[in-house]
Amino acid sequence: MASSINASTSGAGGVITTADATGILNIQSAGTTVAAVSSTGLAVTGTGSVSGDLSFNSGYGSAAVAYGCRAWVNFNGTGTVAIRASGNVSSITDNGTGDYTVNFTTAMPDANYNINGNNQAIAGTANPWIVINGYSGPTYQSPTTAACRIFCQQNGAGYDSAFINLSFFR
Amino acid sequence: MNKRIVYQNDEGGISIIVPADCGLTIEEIAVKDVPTGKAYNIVDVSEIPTDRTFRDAWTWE
Repeated sequence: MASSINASTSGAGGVITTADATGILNIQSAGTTVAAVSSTGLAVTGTGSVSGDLSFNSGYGSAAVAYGCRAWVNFNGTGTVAIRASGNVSSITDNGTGDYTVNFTTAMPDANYNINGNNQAIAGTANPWIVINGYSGPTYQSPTTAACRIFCQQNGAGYDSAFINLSFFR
Repeated sequence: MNKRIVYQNDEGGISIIVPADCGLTIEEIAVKDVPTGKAYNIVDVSEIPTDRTFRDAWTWE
């Protein structure tokens, strides 16, 4: 148990408080703890939302603003192309050999996000690259708020990689 | 999700949309991620070849 502050869901409204001697304070919504304050600090168990800048230290040396990864995906571009895991990605579009578009579930605020990517090379060869904006001719496409097209190439030619990892920061 | 969305792209080939586990249905993903005005088909993943040797030459009928 712990001392709790709970928003009432009754018609009368108000705040319900319960107390004990554990030294832990639970902040609850409709009887469910969403955050707990104890001697070790604050633990958020519900979904957190910070409308301002979020700062933390975590070994950085001082508390500094953290910039978030807004979307990421790990997928297999060989055989049956499939997404292993992702965040804020609704789908990938397989446009051809090594040619993919990442589609965001929730659009970016603008197209000025940072893109990071890597892929697994073909065994025995070198120089695997991921190129942003598509490949050749009319397919060059700048990143948009809704999607980003990338191209995997090795030694100048497109290829399908078994591990393609992309992350988008803003 | 064992479905895929197939459409003819503007470069003469076909594009295949692979859905993520994002809480949207395949139909919702099609509406959102297929380029506006493009006709598309929702197919079972088993209909997509796994041999990608000639991927850029694939067509859809």
